[in-house]
Amino acid sequence: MKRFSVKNRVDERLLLAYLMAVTAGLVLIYSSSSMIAESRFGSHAFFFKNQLIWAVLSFAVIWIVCKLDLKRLSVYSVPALFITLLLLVVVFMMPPRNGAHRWLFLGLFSVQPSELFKFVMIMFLAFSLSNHKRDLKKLKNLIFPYLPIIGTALLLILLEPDLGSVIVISITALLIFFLAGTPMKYLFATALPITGAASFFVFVLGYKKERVIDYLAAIGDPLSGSYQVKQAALTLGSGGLFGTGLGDGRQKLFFLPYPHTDFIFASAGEEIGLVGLTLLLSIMFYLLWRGLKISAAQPDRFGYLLGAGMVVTLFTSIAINIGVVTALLPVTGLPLPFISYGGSSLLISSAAVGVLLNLSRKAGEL
Amino acid sequence: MKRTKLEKIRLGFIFVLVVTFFLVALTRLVHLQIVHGARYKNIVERQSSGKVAIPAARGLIYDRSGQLLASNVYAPSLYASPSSKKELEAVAGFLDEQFGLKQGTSTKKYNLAVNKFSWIKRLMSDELSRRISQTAPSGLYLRNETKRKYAFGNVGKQILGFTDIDNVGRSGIEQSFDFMLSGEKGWADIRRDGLRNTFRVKEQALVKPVPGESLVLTIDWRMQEIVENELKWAVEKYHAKSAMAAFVKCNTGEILAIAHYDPGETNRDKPFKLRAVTDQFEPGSSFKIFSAAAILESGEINIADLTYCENGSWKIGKRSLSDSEEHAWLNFRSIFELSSNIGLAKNAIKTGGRGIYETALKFGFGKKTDVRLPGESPGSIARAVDWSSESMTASLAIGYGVAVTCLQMAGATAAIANGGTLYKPTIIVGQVDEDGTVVGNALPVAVSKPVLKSTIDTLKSFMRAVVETGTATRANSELINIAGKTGTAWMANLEKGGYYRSKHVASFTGFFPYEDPLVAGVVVLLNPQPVYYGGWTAGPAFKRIVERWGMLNPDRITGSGKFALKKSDKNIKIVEIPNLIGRDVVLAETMAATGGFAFRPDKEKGVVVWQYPPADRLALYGDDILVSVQHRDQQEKVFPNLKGLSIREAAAILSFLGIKYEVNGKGKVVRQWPLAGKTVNRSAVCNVHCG
Repeated sequence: MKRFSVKNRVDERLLLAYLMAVTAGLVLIYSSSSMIAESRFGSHAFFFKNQLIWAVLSFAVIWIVCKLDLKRLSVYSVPALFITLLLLVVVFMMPPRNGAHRWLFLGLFSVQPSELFKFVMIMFLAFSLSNHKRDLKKLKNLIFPYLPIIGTALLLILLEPDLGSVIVISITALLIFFLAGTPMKYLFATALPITGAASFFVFVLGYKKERVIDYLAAIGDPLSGSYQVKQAALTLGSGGLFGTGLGDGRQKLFFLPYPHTDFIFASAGEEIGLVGLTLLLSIMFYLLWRGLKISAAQPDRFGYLLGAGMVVTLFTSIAINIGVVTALLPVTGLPLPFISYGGSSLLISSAAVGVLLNLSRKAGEL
Repeated sequence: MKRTKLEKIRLGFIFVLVVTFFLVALTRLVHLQIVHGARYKNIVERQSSGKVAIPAARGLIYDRSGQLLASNVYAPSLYASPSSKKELEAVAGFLDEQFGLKQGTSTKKYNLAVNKFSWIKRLMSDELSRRISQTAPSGLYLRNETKRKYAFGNVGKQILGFTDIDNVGRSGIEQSFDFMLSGEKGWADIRRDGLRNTFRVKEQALVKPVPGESLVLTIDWRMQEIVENELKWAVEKYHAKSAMAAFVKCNTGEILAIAHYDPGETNRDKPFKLRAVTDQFEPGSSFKIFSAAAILESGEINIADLTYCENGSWKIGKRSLSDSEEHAWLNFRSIFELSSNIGLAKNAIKTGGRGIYETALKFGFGKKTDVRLPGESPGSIARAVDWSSESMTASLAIGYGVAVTCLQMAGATAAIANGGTLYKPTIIVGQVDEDGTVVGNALPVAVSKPVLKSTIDTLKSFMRAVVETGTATRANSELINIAGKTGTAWMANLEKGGYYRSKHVASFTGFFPYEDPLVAGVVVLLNPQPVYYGGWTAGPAFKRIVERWGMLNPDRITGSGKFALKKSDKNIKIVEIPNLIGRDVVLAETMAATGGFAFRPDKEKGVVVWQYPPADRLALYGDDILVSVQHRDQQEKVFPNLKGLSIREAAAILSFLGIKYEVNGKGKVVRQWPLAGKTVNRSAVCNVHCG
């Protein structure tokens, strides 16, 4: 039992990658938001200060998560799941912000229950799918209880509306089933009707057809896309190899929408260039890679599914956000984990890293 | 527990997925940032930058004594450029409330739309802009613009004209000299944000604006004010429809004052016409100055020869001529003095109409003077096909069929007064260069020498006689000897042609002082009633102008002041003139009224500093006492701080305050005496040292 005694410390490399990502995020938020903050709130550091508070809170969350015995706590993921479902209902009783019921207002700050649900769902799936009694080759075991619970949550989130989160949660869930060893035929059986229904809606009924056609054209020439797509591509492109330098970007001055939240990757690209973005991508890749290694080295199935679940949810968010910003995917509002401005996103992404760090203590030599 | 084979494969698949994504993302970034990078950067450069015009400071306008007439002040302008629907609603709501509009009307009124620039109110008052800037929602912005400030309000506004909201001259000097005053716009590079309305000047101006040139006018603003006042007085006193006048300097042709007054005129601050230049009138007998000049010049008559004046009525061809008074035999001098139409017509027929016509042309009638004021009228002289027509000759000689402008009349009279040289009338002395020196070709331009000096001398004595004993005795002044000629003509009916038999144009054309002529001019009253003779209406108005001019130029007073006392009339009561100097104007008026004098102050408030006649004289009961009044606060001045100012700026400030000054050296003011903040007497001379 050598690995238990030797490896009791968390994976410092993952922690380092995480800290670098959050620090980069803070710097980029300040640079991209100071003008907007000044004109809207009269303080150039408004967003930066808020995010700094969230970052400190996030470090506390990581520290706490590292101390927990996740396996023993995983039982409580079942009631937690129902509580978050309840929160997803409560959201509709809250006043809307920007026309959407995504936030739960708790006095000084606000949180998105959909982010919380994502996290609890991964815990629950890891707990439930690692049960030896559950035979995943039987369809009945796959449908119940997952479909009603996750389906209800997805429907509620879709109604908020928050399509981006629905997509991330769906893909995360599917990938966890995939990692748990669900037969491919069942996975395809789930994926096919979704794709079919979406195609039917878009191409036969014409729902948002224009947007899809525009999107397809914009892959080839981003300038022919919608305003957001065009400005995002211009912002990235004008950065060139080395960028304009931090703070000197022009596009954040009300040309590029959401320069500090959903499109922060683009405003970063203008100021730090291809070189800077490559560095940023490397940090993220390294973080995910460490996560996968930790998951693979878990002594039990629960740890494996939990760790891998956290990695795939981070990866899905990163991939979709960057895909949108680089005009490879149709526009959907999603923050870039660790980098974008926003408390819920940072807190949950950090909790995911916290889980991985916790698991890394049982992972032995990596 | 080791991973099962299935788990390993699936984990491996995820790893491949992650690697693939990062490779695709990097490839895409290379595509966007390197392949398209330069092109995209160009587009960003274009959409985020622009050029903005920097307006040039408009040139200032001074009068001949250095008084600042027109300057520039900054005023904020309000515009809307809402960046979102929400901002648009906030802006519209705010404007409705601010300007007391019905709810929802401002969007339409100001053409508000998202991301659209629209002016709301330009050149606002400071008070309004302060109020708005404190409460305005985002989407409303202020921009500083310049507007013209006229130091003397509407005085001389007809000459200066006005500028429109874009600071472009629309009439008067502002229009005709716009090319000099406006300067050249500069350009600055700017950075623009995505809302398209907030600008940030990136660096210094690319092209600096060239400020407009400052002009010095020939006008004497004090005289201009006098002329305007007296025209108003004359219109009211003689119930005229309107009045106009022009005065030029005899030996240069410089215009000293030029004005009109029409009680029916609206928008006095934005006059489109300077009627003394744009409108023509029939001079009637005033024109006899020039026909008499032609007759005398021909050498065919002797001024002592008698002409039979037909007792006031004479038929010539189909026309009949009449005189206002019946005369039998008159010599040429008396014909002029008493303005006999018949006498003059007979002499004109003797010497021929062609000579009169050609002389009139030489005096500048019938063509524009090219004074560089907008809308100048050339006037006209009826030209006979055959000058052997006696009736045509007679008409021309007495000034019918002749139309002139006040400026032409004043200029031609100046040619008589100065001994025979017609100068081109000018309105500009020159420009002011950076050191404050006036530059420009101020030399008078002689247009012609219409008649000989001997003719002029005879004519001048005739004109003096008109005022002393002829038709214009009411224009005779005790202060300054005036020479001139009256004119009374039927008013032309511009709609139907022909003349109104009941409407008249009364004029008095003259120059002063008679002994050493300085100024020549004309006063014209349109349709005065019931008294319509030029000698009874325009003449007195001319005299009042001359006398007030005399108050400004006491060294030019030549009259004896005893003229009135020569007439012995038993009803005359002789009174001692009170000493009014140093009294408040209200008290002085009471004192004058007690003595039975007509009190004529030049200002309504202040202290009397000069009076005429002086206190030790005797005068007639009912005579005028002229007084010059200074505002109390003008008695003493607090000397301003001039350090660091250019000579031009310092001079403008000092002349505005009415402080006399001497300048030593060139460049910026380095020393001044008295020091800033000291009180100086009005008469004190201030020394300004520059270096």
